[in-house]
Amino acid sequence: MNRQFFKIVSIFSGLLISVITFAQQRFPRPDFESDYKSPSILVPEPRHGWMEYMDVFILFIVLSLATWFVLKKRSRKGVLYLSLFTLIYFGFYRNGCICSIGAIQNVTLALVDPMYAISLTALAFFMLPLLFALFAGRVFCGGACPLGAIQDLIIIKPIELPIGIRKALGVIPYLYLGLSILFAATKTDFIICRYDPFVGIFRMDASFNMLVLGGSFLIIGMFVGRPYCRFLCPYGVLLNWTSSVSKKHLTITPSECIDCKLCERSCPMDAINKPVTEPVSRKKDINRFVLSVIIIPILMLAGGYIVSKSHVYLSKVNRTVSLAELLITHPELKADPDHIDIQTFLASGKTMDSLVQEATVIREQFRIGGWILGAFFGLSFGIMFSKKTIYRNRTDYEPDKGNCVSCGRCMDFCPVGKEDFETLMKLKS
Amino acid sequence: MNKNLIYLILIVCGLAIAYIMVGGLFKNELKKTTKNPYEYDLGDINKIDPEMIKYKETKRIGLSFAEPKVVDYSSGYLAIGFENQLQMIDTSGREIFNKAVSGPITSLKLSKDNLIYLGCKNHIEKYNTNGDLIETWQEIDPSTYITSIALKDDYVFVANASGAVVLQYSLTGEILHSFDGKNRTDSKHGFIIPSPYFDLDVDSGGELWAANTGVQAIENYNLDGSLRAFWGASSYDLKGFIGCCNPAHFSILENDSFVTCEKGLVRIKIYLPSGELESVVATPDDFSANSIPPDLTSDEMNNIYILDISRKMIRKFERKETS
Repeated sequence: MNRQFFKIVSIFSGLLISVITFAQQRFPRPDFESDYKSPSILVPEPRHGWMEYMDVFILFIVLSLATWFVLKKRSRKGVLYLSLFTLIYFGFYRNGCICSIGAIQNVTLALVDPMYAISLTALAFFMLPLLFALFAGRVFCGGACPLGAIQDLIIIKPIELPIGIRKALGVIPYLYLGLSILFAATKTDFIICRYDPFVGIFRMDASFNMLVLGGSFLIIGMFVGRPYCRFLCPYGVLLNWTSSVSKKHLTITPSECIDCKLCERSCPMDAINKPVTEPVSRKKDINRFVLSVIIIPILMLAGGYIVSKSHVYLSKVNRTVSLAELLITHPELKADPDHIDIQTFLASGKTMDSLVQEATVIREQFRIGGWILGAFFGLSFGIMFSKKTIYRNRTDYEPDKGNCVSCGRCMDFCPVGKEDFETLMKLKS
Repeated sequence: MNKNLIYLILIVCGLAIAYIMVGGLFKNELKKTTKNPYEYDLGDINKIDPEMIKYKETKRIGLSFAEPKVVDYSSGYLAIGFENQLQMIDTSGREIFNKAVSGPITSLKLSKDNLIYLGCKNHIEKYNTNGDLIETWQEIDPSTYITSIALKDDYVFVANASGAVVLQYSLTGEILHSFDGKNRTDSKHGFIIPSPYFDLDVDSGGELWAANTGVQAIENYNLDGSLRAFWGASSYDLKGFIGCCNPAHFSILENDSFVTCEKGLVRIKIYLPSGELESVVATPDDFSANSIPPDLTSDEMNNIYILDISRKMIRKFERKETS
């Protein structure tokens, strides 16, 4: 294991060094000697085309290795070291950008706006983890996500959250996914990037608020495994869906479970399903399932109605809408030379009419988007509710295919197949 | 650790996250009236020590055609290139000729024998002192943007800003050689030309100098295109060049000193042949706000002629008398 591990580390170090060597700026940045304070950049500097493809290649290799470590080698250590590499490369070296989570917004914008050309890199970062999840579970979360990696490393004293809280917080990623798609589709904001809690840490330029945000997630992460992944990550929703139907998945035990219960408390993400043998009334069960299926369209309609009714409030996040409202309610602000947004608008030469017209179009997009978003919420809640009515008898401890992030901790806890365990069993026999 | 304490920590952190994310998203930032924290205040940089200004403006020649672009001096004559017009005047402002050309004129060079080499975007046209077209050289390629022409013995050097290369022509218009400024020993970069400002000139010793604007330097090249020497620095200080692509224009005086012009903050300065700042010709206050960087040239007496594009005039600057 050690020799193989060092081989892998050597290969990656070589790749990293070669990438750094070529990462020189196109031309030197002017040497400003004044006290001028430059605004912090929102996205890292663009890279040379082939280096972007190099990122895709590295992501592919990392995902492949993570799959190998999880399914074949069953090595927690391998996944851990891989996630450490991911943290350094995709986190600190690549400044957390480009990332698969944020790519949701690029894909959304590309779908709604024919003028927006999505880069192949962004598309690959969006698709690759989902494809791997379809065949091997959420190996991306386990080994290839820098946000997951930073949280995984700081789990100190994990506690088990009550199931009610887990279920309630588990709804947030669906809300966040829906809102981020709505805001991206209306060209309002890329909120996933704006509220990425760790990007400021990766770039070491976090504002106070972002430092508090990232710090809060890390503090929570000391006691609750991967809080961002479980209770906020919008990409986690998509990975959950694809991983639930994955062809293969991490297994706790390599062969037959001996029901030793050692793995029961091994998962800080509470993603291990315990054996269930409760007697189920088939008729009652079917009735509950049918009811839950009937209720889904009602939930979708209700959701659509409620969210579309909130479109006026939601659209205020859009700066064009917000500026139009401000200028209508406070026209005297046009004379305020210190109001940057208004002065920028006035300097652009646009008329008030065109601004209002633009804002009206955006607000209408929010209204239609509100219906779709609300229906999505209704559908998600309906499916979650109907899932509760389906009971499956389980005799072994199994990872929850949707929620398991393939970190491999449980495999480490399982004594089956381990040398000591086999010796003990032989002695016993 | 006490479980209650852990729960308390979790609740506090959870509330902080909710406050920052939900509060931040729906907070109307437009309502806030704040002074731009990133305002680019050039007030202090505009101020130049009056002791350094060793030139005074002595003459202004108004121009009669629209869109002046480039200027050059030789043997008592000034040739001015407009968008589609070529004009020759003497230093008193008397017109020798004017001629409509196909253009667009992007550079101009007057030879010692008063032949005019006109850079028209992607090709060179040659005119005599009467304004008659003598030759039209073959177009280079459609993307070419000729920004400067320099003459040395039997060679004509042409700066192509779009390709960031210098082309070496024979006097008959044959391309003999081209180079991109990459040094043999350090090929990290050659000419870095972020905008269409890429000037050339030849000193009294026949040495070719080029403005590598991306690195704010003036560089000396051998005929084979190898870098020989350079000077210049990116700096807010008067001694250096400000911004992304400066010096926008330069010209070599009779004493081999350099007169340079910067874009952005228009400063006209004199540097000794060694690259040491000698004096200031004109300050940003001498030009209109947001002026296009003026082309410039000099005569045998080291007087500077500046083509003030915004005000459509040629402004002559002479060295102040020293006691």
